Amino acid sequence: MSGYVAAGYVVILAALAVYAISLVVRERGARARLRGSSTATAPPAITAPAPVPAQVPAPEPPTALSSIDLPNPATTTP
Amino acid sequence: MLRDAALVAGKDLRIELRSKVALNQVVPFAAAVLILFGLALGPDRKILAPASAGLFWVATLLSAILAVQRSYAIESADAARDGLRLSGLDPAGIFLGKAAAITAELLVLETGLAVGVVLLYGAHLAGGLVLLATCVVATIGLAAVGTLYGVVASGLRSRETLLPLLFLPIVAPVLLAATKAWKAALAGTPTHALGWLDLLVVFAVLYLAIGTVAYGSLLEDG
Amino acid sequence: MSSPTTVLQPTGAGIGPPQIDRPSPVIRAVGAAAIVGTAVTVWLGLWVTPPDEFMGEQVRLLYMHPPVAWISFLAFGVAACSSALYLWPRTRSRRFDRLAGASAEVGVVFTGLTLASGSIWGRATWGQWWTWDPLLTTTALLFVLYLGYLALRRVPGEFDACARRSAIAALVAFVDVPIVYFSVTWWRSLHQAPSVLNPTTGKTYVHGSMLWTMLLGFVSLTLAYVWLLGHRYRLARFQEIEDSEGLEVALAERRAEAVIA
Repeated sequence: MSGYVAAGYVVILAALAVYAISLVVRERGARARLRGSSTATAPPAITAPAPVPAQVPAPEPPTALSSIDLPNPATTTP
Repeated sequence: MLRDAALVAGKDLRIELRSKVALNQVVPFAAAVLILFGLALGPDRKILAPASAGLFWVATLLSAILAVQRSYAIESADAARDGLRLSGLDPAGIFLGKAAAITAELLVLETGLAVGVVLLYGAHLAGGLVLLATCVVATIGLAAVGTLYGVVASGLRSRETLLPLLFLPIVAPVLLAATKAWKAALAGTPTHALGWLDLLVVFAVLYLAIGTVAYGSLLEDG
Repeated sequence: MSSPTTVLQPTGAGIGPPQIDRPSPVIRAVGAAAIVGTAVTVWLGLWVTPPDEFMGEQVRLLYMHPPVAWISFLAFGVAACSSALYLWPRTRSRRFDRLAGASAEVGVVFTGLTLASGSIWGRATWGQWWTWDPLLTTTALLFVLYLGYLALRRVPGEFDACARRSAIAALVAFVDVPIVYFSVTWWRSLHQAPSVLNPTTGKTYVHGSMLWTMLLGFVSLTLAYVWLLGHRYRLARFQEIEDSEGLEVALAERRAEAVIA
Protein backbone atom coordinates (compact mmCIF):
# COMPACT_ATOMS: atom_id res chain seq x y z
CA MET A 1 0.00 0.00 0.00
CA SER A 2 2.47 2.61 -1.10
CA GLY A 3 -0.37 5.10 -1.26
CA TYR A 4 -0.01 5.44 2.49
CA VAL A 5 3.72 5.90 2.20
CA ALA A 6 3.23 8.66 -0.33
CA ALA A 7 0.60 10.24 1.90
CA GLY A 8 3.00 10.17 4.83
CA TYR A 9 5.79 11.82 2.87
CA VAL A 10 3.48 14.42 1.40
CA VAL A 11 1.99 15.32 4.75
CA ILE A 12 5.36 15.77 6.40
CA LEU A 13 7.00 17.70 3.60
CA ALA A 14 3.99 19.85 2.83
CA ALA A 15 3.44 20.80 6.47
CA LEU A 16 7.09 21.71 6.94
CA ALA A 17 7.08 23.73 3.75
CA VAL A 18 3.92 25.60 4.74
CA TYR A 19 5.32 26.36 8.17
CA ALA A 20 8.63 27.50 6.74
CA ILE A 21 6.94 29.78 4.24
CA SER A 22 4.65 31.23 6.88
CA LEU A 23 7.65 31.99 9.09
CA VAL A 24 9.52 33.72 6.30
CA VAL A 25 6.47 35.75 5.31
CA ARG A 26 5.79 36.88 8.87
CA GLU A 27 9.42 37.68 9.40
CA ARG A 28 9.66 39.77 6.26
CA GLY A 29 6.49 41.57 7.23
CA ALA A 30 7.83 42.40 10.68
CA ARG A 31 11.11 43.59 9.23
CA ALA A 32 9.37 45.82 6.73
CA ARG A 33 7.20 47.34 9.41
CA LEU A 34 10.17 47.91 11.68
CA ARG A 35 12.24 49.53 8.95
CA GLY A 36 9.34 51.81 8.20
CA SER A 37 8.77 52.85 11.78
CA SER A 38 12.35 53.09 12.93
CA THR A 39 12.77 56.24 10.86
CA ALA A 40 9.80 57.78 12.66
CA THR A 41 10.81 57.13 16.26
CA ALA A 42 13.91 57.91 18.25
CA PRO A 43 16.24 54.97 18.74
CA PRO A 44 15.11 52.94 21.72
CA ALA A 45 18.49 53.33 23.36
CA ILE A 46 17.52 56.84 24.36
CA THR A 47 13.80 56.91 24.98
CA ALA A 48 12.57 54.07 27.12
CA PRO A 49 8.95 53.00 27.31
CA ALA A 50 7.71 53.99 30.73
CA PRO A 51 6.44 50.60 31.89
CA VAL A 52 9.78 48.88 31.32
CA PRO A 53 10.31 47.52 34.81
CA ALA A 54 13.49 47.40 36.77
CA GLN A 55 13.39 43.65 36.49
CA VAL A 56 14.51 43.70 32.85
CA PRO A 57 17.36 41.23 32.81
CA ALA A 58 20.95 42.37 32.61
CA PRO A 59 22.41 42.67 29.10
CA GLU A 60 22.72 39.35 27.45
CA PRO A 61 26.17 37.84 27.51
CA PRO A 62 27.40 36.69 24.11
CA THR A 63 25.96 33.29 23.39
CA ALA A 64 26.17 30.80 20.63
CA LEU A 65 23.17 32.51 19.11
CA SER A 66 25.21 35.56 18.26
CA SER A 67 25.70 33.99 14.87
CA ILE A 68 22.02 34.57 14.22
CA ASP A 69 21.96 38.06 15.69
CA LEU A 70 25.01 39.08 13.76
CA PRO A 71 24.68 42.75 12.92
CA ASN A 72 25.38 43.25 9.26
CA PRO A 73 25.23 46.95 8.68
CA ALA A 74 26.94 46.51 5.36
CA THR A 75 24.17 44.29 4.06
CA THR A 76 21.18 46.01 5.65
CA THR A 77 19.98 48.08 2.78
CA PRO A 78 18.17 50.05 1.41
CA MET B 1 7.61 26.31 56.81
CA LEU B 2 5.38 23.56 58.14
CA ARG B 3 3.81 25.91 60.63
CA ASP B 4 2.94 28.31 57.84
CA ALA B 5 1.57 25.39 55.87
CA ALA B 6 -0.66 24.39 58.77
CA LEU B 7 -1.83 27.99 59.08
CA VAL B 8 -2.76 28.30 55.44
CA ALA B 9 -4.35 24.86 55.32
CA GLY B 10 -6.38 25.67 58.39
CA LYS B 11 -7.48 28.96 56.88
CA ASP B 12 -8.58 27.36 53.62
CA LEU B 13 -10.42 24.55 55.33
CA ARG B 14 -12.14 26.90 57.75
CA ILE B 15 -13.31 29.06 54.87
CA GLU B 16 -14.64 25.95 53.21
CA LEU B 17 -16.41 24.82 56.36
CA ARG B 18 -18.09 28.18 56.66
CA SER B 19 -18.96 28.79 53.03
CA LYS B 20 -19.49 25.15 52.06
CA VAL B 21 -18.91 25.97 48.41
CA ALA B 22 -17.07 22.74 47.71
CA LEU B 23 -19.84 20.81 49.38
CA ASN B 24 -22.57 22.65 47.54
CA GLN B 25 -20.95 22.83 44.16
CA VAL B 26 -18.09 20.44 43.63
CA VAL B 27 -19.78 17.38 45.11
CA PRO B 28 -22.92 17.78 42.99
CA PHE B 29 -20.67 18.38 40.00
CA ALA B 30 -18.93 15.07 40.64
CA ALA B 31 -22.28 13.35 41.03
CA ALA B 32 -23.44 14.87 37.76
CA VAL B 33 -20.31 13.59 36.04
CA LEU B 34 -20.96 10.07 37.31
CA ILE B 35 -24.54 10.22 36.10
CA LEU B 36 -23.49 11.56 32.71
CA PHE B 37 -21.00 8.74 32.31
CA GLY B 38 -23.78 6.35 33.13
CA LEU B 39 -25.96 7.91 30.46
CA ALA B 40 -23.16 7.85 27.93
CA LEU B 41 -22.05 4.29 28.47
CA GLY B 42 -25.46 2.78 28.78
CA PRO B 43 -27.40 1.19 31.59
CA ASP B 44 -25.74 -2.17 31.06
CA ARG B 45 -23.76 -2.83 34.20
CA LYS B 46 -21.61 -5.27 32.32
CA ILE B 47 -20.01 -2.23 30.70
CA LEU B 48 -20.14 0.15 33.63
CA ALA B 49 -18.86 -2.05 36.42
CA PRO B 50 -15.50 -2.89 34.81
CA ALA B 51 -15.12 0.76 33.87
CA SER B 52 -15.85 2.04 37.36
CA ALA B 53 -12.23 2.55 38.33
CA GLY B 54 -11.49 4.67 35.29
CA LEU B 55 -14.70 6.65 35.55
CA PHE B 56 -14.09 7.25 39.25
CA TRP B 57 -10.71 8.75 38.53
CA VAL B 58 -11.85 10.84 35.60
CA ALA B 59 -14.58 12.29 37.78
CA THR B 60 -11.97 12.97 40.46
CA LEU B 61 -9.68 14.69 37.98
CA LEU B 62 -12.42 16.96 36.70
CA SER B 63 -13.53 17.78 40.23
CA ALA B 64 -9.94 18.54 41.16
CA ILE B 65 -9.95 21.33 38.58
CA LEU B 66 -12.94 22.87 40.29
CA ALA B 67 -11.40 22.45 43.71
CA VAL B 68 -8.24 24.24 42.59
CA GLN B 69 -10.19 27.03 40.99
CA ARG B 70 -12.20 27.45 44.17
CA SER B 71 -9.02 27.46 46.25
CA TYR B 72 -7.72 30.40 44.27
CA ALA B 73 -11.04 32.16 43.90
CA ILE B 74 -11.06 32.77 47.62
CA GLU B 75 -7.72 34.53 47.27
CA SER B 76 -8.88 36.88 44.58
CA ALA B 77 -11.55 38.48 46.74
CA ASP B 78 -10.52 41.55 48.73
CA ALA B 79 -6.97 41.38 47.41
CA ALA B 80 -6.34 38.43 49.66
CA ARG B 81 -3.56 37.34 47.37
CA ASP B 82 -1.62 40.49 48.08
CA GLY B 83 -2.26 39.91 51.74
CA LEU B 84 -0.83 36.46 51.40
CA ARG B 85 2.26 37.77 49.68
CA LEU B 86 2.86 40.51 52.23
CA SER B 87 2.10 38.37 55.23
CA GLY B 88 5.67 37.16 55.46
CA LEU B 89 4.61 33.56 55.32
CA ASP B 90 7.08 31.20 53.70
CA PRO B 91 5.86 30.68 50.10
CA ALA B 92 6.76 27.01 50.28
CA GLY B 93 4.57 26.79 53.34
CA ILE B 94 1.73 28.53 51.53
CA PHE B 95 2.09 26.02 48.70
CA LEU B 96 2.03 23.03 51.01
CA GLY B 97 -0.84 24.45 52.99
CA LYS B 98 -3.03 25.08 49.99
CA ALA B 99 -2.16 21.70 48.53
CA ALA B 100 -3.01 20.04 51.84
CA ALA B 101 -6.38 21.77 51.99
CA ILE B 102 -7.20 20.72 48.44
CA THR B 103 -6.11 17.18 49.24
CA ALA B 104 -8.41 17.04 52.24
CA GLU B 105 -11.37 18.33 50.27
CA LEU B 106 -10.73 15.93 47.42
CA LEU B 107 -10.39 12.94 49.74
CA VAL B 108 -13.79 13.69 51.21
CA LEU B 109 -15.13 13.99 47.69
CA GLU B 110 -13.61 10.68 46.68
CA THR B 111 -15.35 8.93 49.53
CA GLY B 112 -18.62 10.15 48.12
CA LEU B 113 -17.57 9.17 44.62
CA ALA B 114 -16.71 5.68 45.78
CA VAL B 115 -20.19 5.31 47.21
CA GLY B 116 -21.62 6.66 43.98
CA VAL B 117 -19.65 4.22 41.90
CA VAL B 118 -20.89 1.31 43.98
CA LEU B 119 -24.47 2.47 43.74
CA LEU B 120 -24.60 3.55 40.13
CA TYR B 121 -22.23 1.17 38.43
CA GLY B 122 -22.49 -1.86 40.62
CA ALA B 123 -18.82 -1.93 41.41
CA HIS B 124 -17.75 -4.27 44.18
CA LEU B 125 -15.18 -2.60 46.36
CA ALA B 126 -12.41 -4.91 47.46
CA GLY B 127 -8.82 -4.56 48.54
CA GLY B 128 -9.73 -1.57 50.68
CA LEU B 129 -6.25 -0.76 51.88
CA VAL B 130 -4.90 -0.45 48.37
CA LEU B 131 -7.89 1.63 47.32
CA LEU B 132 -7.31 3.97 50.21
CA ALA B 133 -3.57 4.24 49.68
CA THR B 134 -4.06 4.93 45.99
CA CYS B 135 -6.57 7.63 46.77
CA VAL B 136 -4.29 9.37 49.22
CA VAL B 137 -1.15 9.32 47.12
CA ALA B 138 -2.83 10.13 43.82
CA THR B 139 -4.77 12.99 45.39
CA ILE B 140 -1.60 14.48 46.84
CA GLY B 141 -0.09 14.45 43.36
CA LEU B 142 -3.19 16.06 41.88
CA ALA B 143 -3.26 18.72 44.56
CA ALA B 144 0.42 19.53 44.08
CA VAL B 145 0.11 20.06 40.35
CA GLY B 146 -3.18 21.86 40.79
CA THR B 147 -1.83 24.27 43.38
CA LEU B 148 1.20 24.95 41.23
CA TYR B 149 -0.72 25.66 38.06
CA GLY B 150 -3.50 27.30 39.99
CA VAL B 151 -1.27 30.12 41.13
CA VAL B 152 -0.02 30.58 37.58
CA ALA B 153 -3.50 30.76 36.14
CA SER B 154 -5.16 32.68 38.94
CA GLY B 155 -3.56 35.98 38.07
CA LEU B 156 -4.57 35.78 34.44
CA ARG B 157 -7.71 36.76 32.69
CA SER B 158 -8.09 33.52 30.79
CA ARG B 159 -7.73 31.44 33.92
CA GLU B 160 -10.92 29.39 33.57
CA THR B 161 -9.88 27.88 30.27
CA LEU B 162 -6.15 27.86 30.88
CA LEU B 163 -6.12 25.85 34.09
CA PRO B 164 -7.85 22.74 32.72
CA LEU B 165 -5.68 22.81 29.61
CA LEU B 166 -2.50 23.02 31.65
CA PHE B 167 -3.59 20.65 34.38
CA LEU B 168 -5.10 17.65 32.63
CA PRO B 169 -2.21 16.54 30.38
CA ILE B 170 0.27 16.74 33.26
CA VAL B 171 -1.81 14.51 35.52
CA ALA B 172 -2.56 11.94 32.81
CA PRO B 173 -0.07 9.49 34.40
CA VAL B 174 -1.91 9.86 37.71
CA LEU B 175 -5.16 8.89 36.00
CA LEU B 176 -3.47 5.94 34.38
CA ALA B 177 -1.71 4.66 37.46
CA ALA B 178 -4.59 5.22 39.87
CA THR B 179 -7.04 3.51 37.55
CA LYS B 180 -4.74 0.54 37.17
CA ALA B 181 -4.14 0.32 40.89
CA TRP B 182 -7.85 0.41 41.60
CA LYS B 183 -8.54 -2.19 38.93
CA ALA B 184 -5.97 -4.47 40.48
CA ALA B 185 -7.53 -4.01 43.91
CA LEU B 186 -11.08 -4.49 42.63
CA ALA B 187 -10.06 -7.60 40.74
CA GLY B 188 -8.75 -9.12 43.93
CA THR B 189 -5.08 -8.92 43.04
CA PRO B 190 -3.94 -5.98 45.12
CA THR B 191 -0.26 -6.84 44.84
CA HIS B 192 -0.36 -5.92 41.17
CA ALA B 193 -1.12 -2.40 42.28
CA LEU B 194 2.18 -1.89 44.03
CA GLY B 195 4.10 -0.85 40.95
CA TRP B 196 1.46 1.70 40.08
CA LEU B 197 1.50 2.99 43.64
CA ASP B 198 5.24 3.51 43.33
CA LEU B 199 4.66 5.60 40.25
CA LEU B 200 2.08 7.67 42.09
CA VAL B 201 4.48 8.24 44.97
CA VAL B 202 7.22 9.37 42.59
CA PHE B 203 4.80 11.73 40.89
CA ALA B 204 3.58 13.22 44.16
CA VAL B 205 7.07 13.69 45.60
CA LEU B 206 8.34 15.21 42.36
CA TYR B 207 5.61 17.77 42.02
CA LEU B 208 5.56 18.62 45.71
CA ALA B 209 9.25 19.36 45.37
CA ILE B 210 8.83 21.47 42.25
CA GLY B 211 5.95 23.34 43.79
CA THR B 212 7.83 24.06 46.98
CA VAL B 213 10.71 25.53 45.05
CA ALA B 214 8.83 27.41 42.37
CA TYR B 215 5.85 28.73 44.32
CA GLY B 216 7.58 31.78 45.71
CA SER B 217 8.45 33.30 42.39
CA LEU B 218 5.08 32.44 40.89
CA LEU B 219 3.20 34.00 43.80
CA GLU B 220 4.93 37.32 43.25
CA ASP B 221 3.78 37.73 39.68
CA GLY B 222 0.25 38.84 39.14
CA MET C 1 28.29 44.77 32.68
CA SER C 2 25.25 45.73 34.65
CA SER C 3 24.71 49.45 34.39
CA PRO C 4 21.63 51.62 34.87
CA THR C 5 21.34 52.21 31.15
CA THR C 6 20.60 48.54 30.55
CA VAL C 7 17.05 49.26 31.59
CA LEU C 8 16.69 51.33 28.45
CA GLN C 9 17.85 48.69 26.03
CA PRO C 10 15.22 46.05 25.45
CA THR C 11 17.30 44.07 23.00
CA GLY C 12 20.89 43.50 22.16
CA ALA C 13 23.87 43.81 24.42
CA GLY C 14 25.21 47.04 23.12
CA ILE C 15 24.47 50.53 22.07
CA GLY C 16 22.54 51.70 19.10
CA PRO C 17 19.25 50.78 17.44
CA PRO C 18 18.12 47.15 17.34
CA GLN C 19 19.47 45.01 14.55
CA ILE C 20 16.87 44.37 11.91
CA ASP C 21 19.19 42.47 9.67
CA ARG C 22 18.94 39.76 7.09
CA PRO C 23 19.37 36.15 8.15
CA SER C 24 23.00 35.34 8.70
CA PRO C 25 24.92 33.21 6.19
CA VAL C 26 25.06 30.38 8.69
CA ILE C 27 21.30 30.09 8.79
CA ARG C 28 21.07 30.24 5.03
CA ALA C 29 23.62 27.49 4.69
CA VAL C 30 21.75 25.35 7.19
CA GLY C 31 18.54 25.87 5.26
CA ALA C 32 20.15 24.96 1.97
CA ALA C 33 21.71 21.85 3.46
CA ALA C 34 18.37 20.87 4.97
CA ILE C 35 16.58 21.16 1.63
CA VAL C 36 19.25 19.23 -0.24
CA GLY C 37 19.49 16.56 2.42
CA THR C 38 15.75 16.11 2.62
CA ALA C 39 15.41 15.93 -1.13
CA VAL C 40 18.09 13.24 -1.30
CA THR C 41 16.41 11.36 1.55
CA VAL C 42 13.09 11.42 -0.22
CA TRP C 43 14.66 10.25 -3.46
CA LEU C 44 16.55 7.46 -1.74
CA GLY C 45 13.65 6.59 0.47
CA LEU C 46 11.00 6.36 -2.18
CA TRP C 47 12.93 5.04 -5.14
CA VAL C 48 16.40 3.78 -4.46
CA THR C 49 16.09 1.70 -1.32
CA PRO C 50 14.46 -1.72 -1.52
CA PRO C 51 11.23 -2.65 0.24
CA ASP C 52 11.67 -4.57 3.45
CA GLU C 53 11.26 -8.33 3.50
CA PHE C 54 8.65 -8.24 6.23
CA MET C 55 7.13 -4.78 6.19
CA GLY C 56 7.14 -4.25 2.45
CA GLU C 57 6.70 -0.75 1.21
CA GLN C 58 5.75 0.65 4.62
CA VAL C 59 9.32 0.57 5.76
CA ARG C 60 9.91 3.66 3.65
CA LEU C 61 8.27 5.69 6.38
CA LEU C 62 11.19 4.66 8.57
CA TYR C 63 13.19 7.38 6.88
CA MET C 64 10.83 10.16 7.91
CA HIS C 65 8.77 9.18 10.93
CA PRO C 66 11.52 8.40 13.51
CA PRO C 67 13.49 11.55 12.58
CA VAL C 68 10.40 13.69 13.00
CA ALA C 69 9.65 12.04 16.35
CA TRP C 70 13.22 12.51 17.56
CA ILE C 71 13.17 16.16 16.62
CA SER C 72 10.01 16.83 18.59
CA PHE C 73 11.71 15.46 21.71
CA LEU C 74 14.83 17.43 20.90
CA ALA C 75 12.84 20.62 20.46
CA PHE C 76 11.11 20.25 23.81
CA GLY C 77 14.43 19.40 25.43
CA VAL C 78 15.90 22.59 24.02
CA ALA C 79 12.90 24.52 25.30
CA ALA C 80 13.31 22.99 28.76
CA CYS C 81 17.06 23.70 28.93
CA SER C 82 16.51 27.19 27.67
CA SER C 83 13.82 27.74 30.28
CA ALA C 84 16.15 26.48 33.00
CA LEU C 85 18.83 28.88 31.79
CA TYR C 86 16.35 31.70 31.94
CA LEU C 87 15.37 30.85 35.50
CA TRP C 88 18.97 30.58 36.68
CA PRO C 89 19.83 34.11 37.76
CA ARG C 90 23.34 34.12 36.33
CA THR C 91 22.22 33.23 32.85
CA ARG C 92 18.96 35.09 32.83
CA SER C 93 18.48 36.65 29.43
CA ARG C 94 15.65 37.43 27.08
CA ARG C 95 17.36 35.25 24.50
CA PHE C 96 16.58 32.12 26.45
CA ASP C 97 12.95 32.97 26.87
CA ARG C 98 12.69 33.66 23.16
CA LEU C 99 14.51 30.44 22.36
CA ALA C 100 12.24 28.42 24.60
CA GLY C 101 9.13 29.80 22.97
CA ALA C 102 10.50 29.35 19.47
CA SER C 103 11.67 25.81 20.11
CA ALA C 104 8.35 24.86 21.70
CA GLU C 105 6.41 26.10 18.71
CA VAL C 106 8.59 24.26 16.23
CA GLY C 107 8.40 21.25 18.53
CA VAL C 108 4.62 21.31 18.45
CA VAL C 109 4.73 21.34 14.66
CA PHE C 110 7.00 18.31 14.64
CA THR C 111 4.92 16.56 17.28
CA GLY C 112 1.86 17.00 15.13
CA LEU C 113 3.77 15.54 12.21
CA THR C 114 4.89 12.62 14.37
CA LEU C 115 1.29 11.88 15.22
CA ALA C 116 0.18 12.20 11.60
CA SER C 117 2.96 10.04 10.16
CA GLY C 118 2.67 7.52 12.98
CA SER C 119 -1.04 7.27 12.45
CA ILE C 120 -0.59 6.78 8.70
CA TRP C 121 2.03 4.14 9.31
CA GLY C 122 -0.27 2.38 11.77
CA ARG C 123 -3.09 2.46 9.27
CA ALA C 124 -0.84 1.05 6.58
CA THR C 125 0.57 -1.69 8.77
CA TRP C 126 -2.20 -2.62 11.16
CA GLY C 127 -5.27 -1.25 9.44
CA GLN C 128 -6.08 1.11 12.28
CA TRP C 129 -5.54 4.83 12.47
CA TRP C 130 -4.73 4.70 16.16
CA THR C 131 -3.56 1.72 18.20
CA TRP C 132 -2.63 3.38 21.51
CA ASP C 133 0.95 2.52 20.78
CA PRO C 134 3.03 3.68 23.79
CA LEU C 135 5.28 6.06 21.89
CA LEU C 136 2.45 7.58 19.92
CA THR C 137 0.27 7.95 22.99
CA THR C 138 3.10 9.68 24.82
CA THR C 139 3.50 11.92 21.78
CA ALA C 140 -0.20 12.74 21.82
CA LEU C 141 0.02 13.82 25.45
CA LEU C 142 3.16 15.77 24.65
CA PHE C 143 1.25 17.55 21.90
CA VAL C 144 -1.47 18.68 24.24
CA LEU C 145 1.01 19.55 26.99
CA TYR C 146 2.90 21.93 24.79
CA LEU C 147 -0.17 23.41 23.18
CA GLY C 148 -1.02 24.42 26.74
CA TYR C 149 2.46 25.87 27.13
CA LEU C 150 2.04 27.93 23.98
CA ALA C 151 -1.35 29.13 25.20
CA LEU C 152 0.25 30.23 28.45
CA ARG C 153 2.92 32.15 26.57
CA ARG C 154 0.30 34.09 24.67
CA VAL C 155 -1.28 35.51 27.79
CA PRO C 156 -0.20 39.13 27.98
CA GLY C 157 1.66 40.52 30.92
CA GLU C 158 4.82 42.07 32.15
CA PHE C 159 7.79 40.47 30.46
CA ASP C 160 9.69 38.97 33.35
CA ALA C 161 6.57 37.54 34.98
CA CYS C 162 5.47 35.98 31.69
CA ALA C 163 8.91 34.59 31.02
CA ARG C 164 9.27 33.12 34.47
CA ARG C 165 5.92 31.39 34.55
CA SER C 166 6.41 30.09 31.02
CA ALA C 167 9.80 28.77 32.00
CA ILE C 168 8.41 26.97 35.02
CA ALA C 169 5.59 25.56 32.91
CA ALA C 170 8.09 24.28 30.35
CA LEU C 171 10.08 22.51 33.03
CA VAL C 172 6.98 21.08 34.70
CA ALA C 173 5.88 19.72 31.33
CA PHE C 174 9.26 18.30 30.41
CA VAL C 175 9.68 16.59 33.76
CA ASP C 176 6.35 14.90 33.18
CA VAL C 177 7.46 13.37 29.89
CA PRO C 178 9.43 10.42 31.29
CA ILE C 179 6.67 9.72 33.80
CA VAL C 180 4.10 9.70 31.04
CA TYR C 181 6.32 7.50 28.90
CA PHE C 182 6.89 4.90 31.60
CA SER C 183 3.30 4.79 32.69
CA VAL C 184 1.94 4.47 29.16
CA THR C 185 4.53 1.89 28.14
CA TRP C 186 3.76 -0.20 31.19
CA TRP C 187 0.07 0.22 30.56
CA ARG C 188 0.43 -1.07 27.04
CA SER C 189 2.85 -3.85 27.87
CA LEU C 190 0.06 -5.48 29.81
CA HIS C 191 -1.83 -5.88 26.56
CA GLN C 192 0.87 -6.83 24.05
CA ALA C 193 -0.12 -4.08 21.70
CA PRO C 194 1.14 -3.90 18.16
CA SER C 195 3.82 -1.30 18.03
CA VAL C 196 5.22 0.42 15.04
CA LEU C 197 8.80 0.28 16.17
CA ASN C 198 8.69 -2.37 18.87
CA PRO C 199 12.23 -3.62 19.25
CA THR C 200 11.17 -6.95 20.69
CA THR C 201 9.13 -7.77 17.63
CA GLY C 202 11.81 -6.12 15.54
CA LYS C 203 11.70 -8.05 12.36
CA THR C 204 13.00 -5.09 10.50
CA TYR C 205 16.73 -5.20 10.29
CA VAL C 206 17.88 -1.85 9.15
CA HIS C 207 21.02 -2.33 7.15
CA GLY C 208 22.87 -1.17 4.10
CA SER C 209 21.28 1.54 2.06
CA MET C 210 18.31 1.65 4.41
CA LEU C 211 20.52 2.56 7.34
CA TRP C 212 22.27 5.32 5.49
CA THR C 213 19.01 6.72 4.20
CA MET C 214 17.59 6.77 7.69
CA LEU C 215 20.67 8.52 9.03
CA LEU C 216 20.47 11.03 6.25
CA GLY C 217 16.85 11.56 7.12
CA PHE C 218 17.77 12.23 10.74
CA VAL C 219 20.48 14.70 9.80
CA SER C 220 18.47 16.55 7.16
CA LEU C 221 15.40 16.97 9.28
CA THR C 222 17.47 18.06 12.26
CA LEU C 223 18.98 20.72 10.04
CA ALA C 224 15.49 21.70 8.99
CA TYR C 225 14.58 22.03 12.67
CA VAL C 226 17.59 24.28 13.26
CA TRP C 227 16.62 26.49 10.34
CA LEU C 228 13.00 26.73 11.46
CA LEU C 229 14.16 27.43 15.02
CA GLY C 230 16.46 30.19 13.85
CA HIS C 231 13.75 31.91 11.88
CA ARG C 232 11.12 31.51 14.56
CA TYR C 233 13.61 33.01 17.01
CA ARG C 234 14.22 35.96 14.71
CA LEU C 235 10.51 36.46 14.32
CA ALA C 236 10.14 36.51 18.10
CA ARG C 237 12.88 39.10 18.36
CA PHE C 238 11.29 41.32 15.74
CA GLN C 239 7.94 41.01 17.44
CA GLU C 240 9.48 42.08 20.73
CA ILE C 241 11.07 45.10 19.09
CA GLU C 242 7.82 45.89 17.39
CA ASP C 243 5.91 45.71 20.65
CA SER C 244 8.29 47.96 22.51
CA GLU C 245 8.58 50.40 19.64
CA GLY C 246 4.85 50.41 19.15
CA LEU C 247 4.54 51.51 22.73
CA GLU C 248 7.02 54.31 22.17
CA VAL C 249 5.18 55.51 19.10
CA ALA C 250 1.97 55.62 21.08
CA LEU C 251 3.66 57.47 23.92
CA ALA C 252 5.21 59.96 21.52
CA GLU C 253 1.84 60.57 19.95
CA ARG C 254 0.22 61.14 23.32
CA ARG C 255 2.96 63.56 24.29
CA ALA C 256 2.55 65.37 21.00
CA GLU C 257 -1.14 65.76 21.75
CA ALA C 258 -0.36 67.29 25.12
CA VAL C 259 2.00 69.81 23.59
CA ILE C 260 -0.51 70.97 21.03
CA ALA C 261 -3.16 71.46 23.67
